Amino acid sequence: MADLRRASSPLPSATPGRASGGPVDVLAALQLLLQVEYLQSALYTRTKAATGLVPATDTTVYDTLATHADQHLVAVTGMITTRTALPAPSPVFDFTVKGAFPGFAFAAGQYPALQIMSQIVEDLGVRAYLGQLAALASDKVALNTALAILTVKGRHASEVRRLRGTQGWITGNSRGDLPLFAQAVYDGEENVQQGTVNVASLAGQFGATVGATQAFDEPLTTAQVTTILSLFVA
Amino acid sequence: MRIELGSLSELHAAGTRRDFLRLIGLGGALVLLPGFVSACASDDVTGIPASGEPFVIDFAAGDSAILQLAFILEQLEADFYGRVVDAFAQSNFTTTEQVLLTDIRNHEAIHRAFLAATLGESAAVEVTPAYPNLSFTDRAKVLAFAKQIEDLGIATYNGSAQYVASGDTLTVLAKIAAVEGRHASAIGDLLTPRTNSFAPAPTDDLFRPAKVGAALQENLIEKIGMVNLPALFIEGPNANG
Repeated sequence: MADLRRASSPLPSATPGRASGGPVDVLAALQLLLQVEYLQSALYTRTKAATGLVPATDTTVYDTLATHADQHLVAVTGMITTRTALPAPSPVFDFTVKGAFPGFAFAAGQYPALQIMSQIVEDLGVRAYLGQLAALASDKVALNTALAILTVKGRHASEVRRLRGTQGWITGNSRGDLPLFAQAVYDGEENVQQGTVNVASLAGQFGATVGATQAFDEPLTTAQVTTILSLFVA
Repeated sequence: MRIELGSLSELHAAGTRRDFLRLIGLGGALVLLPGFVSACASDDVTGIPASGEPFVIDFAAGDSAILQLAFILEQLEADFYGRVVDAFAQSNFTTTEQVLLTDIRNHEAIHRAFLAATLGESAAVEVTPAYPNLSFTDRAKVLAFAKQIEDLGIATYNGSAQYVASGDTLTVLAKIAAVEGRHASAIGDLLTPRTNSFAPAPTDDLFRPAKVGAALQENLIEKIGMVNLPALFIEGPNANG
């Protein structure tokens, strides 16, 4: 838990409405994203080490997810060290979510559980990155890398959702068939106010409110991400 | 009159609006009323790209120039998927694929409407897409084009973000970009299921506005010009912008 608290130090985030995060904000944002990368990397590393978990048809997809997660972890770690800061160490993760996801042990036959967990961490990743962009805006190199990773997280999320028969995009704040603990990953996704525009009011013939919520992913705040991450920390 | 402009180097060379106008041979005043182009817009998908009226994006306008660039992209995307959906009765998409493509059509139309409303009537200039040699009933060709414009959309949003002054605008454009990533993944997986084509690289591309403009020009009747382009472009991790 100490690591998570460090990653979410109570520093003020970038002033709302301005892309003005300074170096302290940049590092705080990167440390938070590092925690998300640790979570994703741990999930796929344990997946790769498992036997009989991922069916042969889907191993290329899961190998791709694992490779990208490791590369994202290296990239975020590198951004922290090149800014002469120390990356916080990885927590030890509990993928039974301290009992909220009972029995998940990367065991043979548990592919549906792995798919659920994959959807949760990938949708979390998209929203976590979105929430840190304004804080990164003063550092264009970091911003660019975060964006290049963000859209790949979107790709990953879409794929793992579609592999389990769910649409690639999030509708409203629906967690679908996911367990209750995952609801925090979807809260706020029902937003339809984008800047000065209520997009639901423009979406009539194009899926109405359903389409309006699907068409935009929504950021999670640092506090929200920290709370969600804490669910997974042993 | 014949207007020649569009190569990347020429776009770069046009440093100011005056330079641009001189380059396209108009010299004097050029007034583009928002209703003008739309009044000329036709339903002709076989028109010749870059054969139409010039449309200038002035980057001295700040964030609204980025929104204008995004608006061109979203008009193309929404128009394209709209035509795909309209051609379902004659095309070879499965029912499942039709549902997916209809969702994407809806999202792109909403992105287009959002940008139009955000820009306001005076800045939201309508453009006319063109699709040389594209059959909207051919699954393989439609998906190949869809992949191309989804990837371009991602590179457009990601590459433009560094110029956005408002943190709120930065975030809202990234909210769209993330969903374009979801689209690109689904399209890639339809093309080659359960391979790495949903995410071919660990990091997506970032393109500078001039590169985006040159790519969009392939499918636009209007001739895109860009003036007061920022001198500096900071590359993304793929260093290909």
